[in-house]
Amino acid sequence: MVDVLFYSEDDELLHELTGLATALAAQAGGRSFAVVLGDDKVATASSVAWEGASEVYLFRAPAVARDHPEAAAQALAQATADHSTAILLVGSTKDGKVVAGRLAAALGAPAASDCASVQLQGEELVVERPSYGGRVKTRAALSGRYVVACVKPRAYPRAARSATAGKVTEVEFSPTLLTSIVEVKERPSSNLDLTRAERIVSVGRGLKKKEDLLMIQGLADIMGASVGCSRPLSADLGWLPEEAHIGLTGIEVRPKIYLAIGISGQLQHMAGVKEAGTIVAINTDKGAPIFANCDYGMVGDLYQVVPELKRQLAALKNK
Amino acid sequence: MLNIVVLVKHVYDENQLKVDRESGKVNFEGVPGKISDFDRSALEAALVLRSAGGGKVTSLTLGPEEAVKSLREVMAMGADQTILIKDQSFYKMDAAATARVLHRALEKAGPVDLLICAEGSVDSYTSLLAPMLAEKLHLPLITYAQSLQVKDGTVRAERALEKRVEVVEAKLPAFVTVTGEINDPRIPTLLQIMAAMKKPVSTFTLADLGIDPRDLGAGGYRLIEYSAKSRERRRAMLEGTVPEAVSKLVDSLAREGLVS
Repeated sequence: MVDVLFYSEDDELLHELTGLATALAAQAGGRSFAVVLGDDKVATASSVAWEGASEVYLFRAPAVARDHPEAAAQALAQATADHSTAILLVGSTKDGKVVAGRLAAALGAPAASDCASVQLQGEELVVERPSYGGRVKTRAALSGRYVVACVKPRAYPRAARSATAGKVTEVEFSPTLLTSIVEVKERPSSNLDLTRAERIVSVGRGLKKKEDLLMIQGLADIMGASVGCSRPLSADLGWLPEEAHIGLTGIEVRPKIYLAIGISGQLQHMAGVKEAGTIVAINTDKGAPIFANCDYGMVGDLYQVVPELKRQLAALKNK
Repeated sequence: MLNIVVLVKHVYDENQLKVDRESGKVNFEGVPGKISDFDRSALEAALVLRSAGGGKVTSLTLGPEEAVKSLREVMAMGADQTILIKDQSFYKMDAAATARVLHRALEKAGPVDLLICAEGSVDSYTSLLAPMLAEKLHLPLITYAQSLQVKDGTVRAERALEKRVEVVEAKLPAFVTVTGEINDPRIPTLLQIMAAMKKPVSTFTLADLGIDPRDLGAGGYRLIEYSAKSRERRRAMLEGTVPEAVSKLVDSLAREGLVS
């Protein structure tokens, strides 16, 4: 009998883990336990309890511990102590990986992050995760008393509401924090969700200045597309929000058409568009790796190609 | 005076992996190695701190003999001292086994004020090594730092997270992982590269650290396979003047029903 414990500071991901945890627990003949951390998370605890979790441990902790990865690792370790064997699932966010790493080391357990799939096969937990810039898929098996798997966002659907609710148990908790979060700057919320976009116009380092995004947006508008980008434009230059960053360390998209403008096509970027339908690449450098990985390629200056493309697409619309 | 240790990793160049198109099998034989992409940023961050407050920068890696190449690169950039834990089975190690070896090596190396590594290594990119090692060493850890300062025994960094940026502080000794955006790593001169070739690399084996390599495989992590099946794309190059090439593109996309 193997129990499944799960945690994510991200509510959406927590609901995805709830479904996965409940299914794995049923297969293993055990029960599923959510770990929720924070005094203000009563509603989250309750909704997870209504989605099939056998029990929710609501760790009451001071505000400084809310969303704190060190506190979460300690809460999970504390909760795990009541279970002789357990699969531990953590949402694979940047903070989630800190939680999983610390937890695994504390428990002496094996761990894997960014898991796109998690399956129980016999005594082993078999996971699939990307490696080598997303080019290679790694399959690995975790085994032992405790195993830790970090599950990627959107790898599993949200759990459905169940007929009965699991129990919510409050746990008094005083974590030891080694780092203090002295300031939080929320990124401007963009509400951008490219993961469901059918058409994406994406732009990279080939763009010379931020103002030129207007031209790209204009093309996207004509196509009914959303605008995405490669890592430098969001992480380095900050011209577009982090939600627009497509690639291994950003998001994965699966549009019917992906128009890559001024993007060289490094593996790490292409990992995010593997599932795209048709990929079109426009780049000045005929040796750019993207031309080996696209359906249609055009060697040319985006500052000439994009206006011409806008003109011809507009003409097509008016036909 | 800061005693800084920077962890680096010598990895296979992911752009040069050999993949069998039919089976998706990955062949690592003869694939050239390189220093993992963001490791230079980790070293640069250490060098900036050293030039501000003085101190020593040591670079530590675990890997095969060839990993010396990556150590030479960081020496050319300005690391004071480098250490190689030599082990040929290294590529099969998971994060937990690597953390165990590095934990032992760091204990042996003596007190450290600041440990720095990159947010992930380009081979497996687990981002698990730092939290595992921090837990073992009982160190505060600040991950995904896009800026870094040390003042009066406190490290302060901005963490770039998915939906927010956090400013986080911790007392030294501490561990920080940096993003590739934190700085532009310096490029060594030819003279520096040549001088680095002559500097010694301290080399240890697992046995020197009192670790039995067989134990490292007993951590409950078993690699089943690597596969790299990828979808073959059409790669149709559109030639001609800009209006001609664009016209071909629009026609093709219209035929596929992708634009209207």
